[in-house]
Formats: sequence, C-alpha cells, structure tokens
Amino acid sequence: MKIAKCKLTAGGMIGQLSEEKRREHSQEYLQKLIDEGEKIIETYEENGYLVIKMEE
Amino acid sequence: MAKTYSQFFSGENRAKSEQNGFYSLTNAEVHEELGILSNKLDLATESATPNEDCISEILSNGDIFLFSTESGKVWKRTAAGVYSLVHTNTNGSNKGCKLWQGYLYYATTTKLGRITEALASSESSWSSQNDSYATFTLSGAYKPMVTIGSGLYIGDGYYVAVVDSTHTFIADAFDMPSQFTCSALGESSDDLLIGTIVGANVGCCKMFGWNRISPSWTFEDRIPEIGINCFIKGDNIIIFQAGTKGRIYYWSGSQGVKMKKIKGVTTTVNPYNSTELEGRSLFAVGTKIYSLHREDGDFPYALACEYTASGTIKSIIADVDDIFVSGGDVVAHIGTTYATTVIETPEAEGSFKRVEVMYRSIAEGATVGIETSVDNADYVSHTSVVDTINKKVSFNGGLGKTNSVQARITLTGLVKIKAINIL
Repeated sequence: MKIAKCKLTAGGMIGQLSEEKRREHSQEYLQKLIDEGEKIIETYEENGYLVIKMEE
Repeated sequence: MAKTYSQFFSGENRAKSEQNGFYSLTNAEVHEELGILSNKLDLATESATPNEDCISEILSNGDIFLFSTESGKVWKRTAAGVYSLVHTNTNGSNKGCKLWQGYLYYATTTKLGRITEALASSESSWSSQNDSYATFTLSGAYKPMVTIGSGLYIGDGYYVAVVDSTHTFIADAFDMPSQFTCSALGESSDDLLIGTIVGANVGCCKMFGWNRISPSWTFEDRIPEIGINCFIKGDNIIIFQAGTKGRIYYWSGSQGVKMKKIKGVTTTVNPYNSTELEGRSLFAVGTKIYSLHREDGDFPYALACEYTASGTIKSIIADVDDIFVSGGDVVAHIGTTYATTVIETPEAEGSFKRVEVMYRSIAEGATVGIETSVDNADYVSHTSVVDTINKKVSFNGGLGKTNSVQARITLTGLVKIKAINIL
C-alpha cells in the first residue's frame, strides 16, 4: 500500500487558496490518480488532509 | 614599479584592472599549500557508459546511481568503479534523484519512483522498483530534491511535494503564486529555501523561505536574475548561483546578497551541478568546475576553476576523494595525469621589460610557458628560459614600450610556482 495526501486547510498562497479551493484541488488530484490507473483502496480526511490509500 | 602577483589563495578577481587575485585561473590548485599554485589532476573518462547525460546520487555503501536526463536509463557505479545498466524508467527521462530513509527516490516530470537502498545495490537488473510510486500534481519541468528534518522535498512547478518519514507522499505541501516554477531547493538550518524561475524572458525571480510548518512561506526575497540555478553545497554558508551571467549570491538569513561573479560565462538552471570534495564547495558551469573555498576563516572565499571536462556538465557528485562528472555523454573522474594550468594575471599599469615566474619545483618533463599582452593587445608567446640557480622562469628580450602588461602563464606537467613578477 502507498499513501498520498493533499492539503485541505486554507493557507498556502495567501488569500487565494481557501479551503474550498483546496478541496477542489484535492478532488482534481484524486481524479488524476484514478485516470492514471491507480487502484484506490480508500480515501478519508484526517488532520486537514485528504488521505488517499492505494495499492502499490 | 615591479608588480608581484602571488596571492593565489585570493582566486579570480573581478576585472583585469583589479590587482588583488588573478584575472583567470584554470585547472589550478590554489589552496593546498599557502603561497603555492600548482597543477590539478585532469578529468579522465572513467567509463564509456553511461553514454548519456545524467544526474546522480550516492548511497550509504558508496555505490553511485546515475539517472539519464535524456532517457529513462539508470546506471550503477559500484564503489569499486564498475558500471552497469540496472534499469530503464518506464516513465521517461529522469529529472531528480535522492536517497531518503532507506529508499532511493527518482523523479520524472510526472512520476516519483523508488527502490529500497539495499535492493538498488544488490539487484543487477532492478525488479523490485516502483517507477510510479507517486504522481506529481503539476508535472513541473525541474525536480530539485533536498532532505531536511523528517522530509524529502521535491520541486514540482509552483508546488513543493514532500515524502515524509513514513514515505507518505504529500503532493502540495507548499505552494507559490502560479507564475513561479521551483528551479532549485536548499536549506537554511531547518528552513526550506525555494529558488524559482518565472521564465527565460523575465529578468527577476524570487527566493521563498518556508519553516515547513506554517501554511505559507515565512519570508521571500526578490532576486534580480532570470532564475535560481543551483544551491552550492557548503559548510556554514548558504550560497546559490543565479541568472545567466555567472553571479553567485549568499543567503543572509532573509535575503540573497551578491557575493561573486564568474567572468565571461553563461549560466542556466542546473540544480544537480554542485558537490563538496574534501570540504571544498564545487560547482559546474559549462565545461568548467569551480571551487568556492577558503582554507580557514582568515582567508577570503576564493573562486577558481579546478577542473575542465570534455563536454557541458550536467551533474557532479563526490565520494571521499574523487568526483564523478556527467557531461558530454561520458562520466569523468579525477585522473592520474596533470591538467594544463593557465593563469592570467591582472593588467599591470606602467612601463615593464619582462615577466618572471618564481617557482618551487618543476617536475621532469614539465614546462612553464609565458605569454604577454601589451596594452590590451593579443597575447604574444615568448621562449621560456629556466634559471635553476635562482628558481625562476623568464624570457630573453624585452617588451618594447608598454603602458600596461598582462601575463598569461601555462603550466604543463607538475609545476609549483610561488609568484609571477612583471618587472
């Protein structure tokens, strides 16, 4: 198993990356992984991150 | 009035007219013995393969892995100096590589691969690697890598990704305004320094500093250069090379400050072009490898070209007493014969008649060549005469009327010189 994470909390580029934008980015990243054939085991939110567990 | 140039430890100066230091030093050893300049050993091709330009990383056991930047090929160089092709990355040409927490990580534009350190060395043809361990978000052109604290940090466009100590990949650990692309990564204590480039046609960029905890960067500095090309490895000083004109900066803690300039070179982004050999900071520009070094705290940092490669250098890496230079589709290392050393003095103003090279030793078969440039004209070669009684090399005849004289001394074989006098 391998794990990737995306930030969900607001921050980063000041004033621009709201939590809403972060969530949008993280869903885009998840979709990118699926499109590239990654086998997703599970996803969940933890400590301000979207955690994506995949088969290695 | 006679001019004596003997402060070799000062390295290269800023201009012909500057009397401290030397106008150029090529393949020169200026630090080994105070007051002496001698030839460096040359760079010799160690292996016909890799026959592609590579970036490289050294493992704990001394094995070096060379990742082609032209294809997916990966070669191993054992500590004993035997090369073999061990793998071809299925995701294309390699952009970055770093040892982290028991794994050798390597990146293409889109994917991060890895293999355990032990199996990278033991498998003659890799079978346990995962070329697609993680997926980058932005497919950034450069993949500089640095390890700080509990993370391996990797540039990816306007993001910095991290592999943490449990090997979890965080795709967007840090983000910048989208016009910036991460071109080089460095460290300042436990802060991450992120060097950037906006574009080849934009004359300024920024250095961002991040404490790796805060949601955003903690400081930034505008650098009036096209991009940050490379952090130069050094002890107790943070140095980076920026722009296209050979400028070198040091990091003050919050700002980049001009430090040196290599005259007459063109520089570009190349984050794997620096290493340290026996405590000396080395970095490559074009075909030359420069040191930026001082032997102890009383000396100034001196810039000198120590080695010259046969082709444009892509990366350098050192082990204990050797360097491995990828460029011109070969890997070169420090050879056993002496390189030709060339020294150009500053321009001495006034009326002069001759040039003398004071020496300590000239090995059998070694030579000292003397050329002079009078009033900034082309160099003219002279027939050298060795005076073994007074330990000096000069030439017969004068220089005619002079307003200024510059000397170019060429040493072949092993010669140790103490001073160049323009009299």
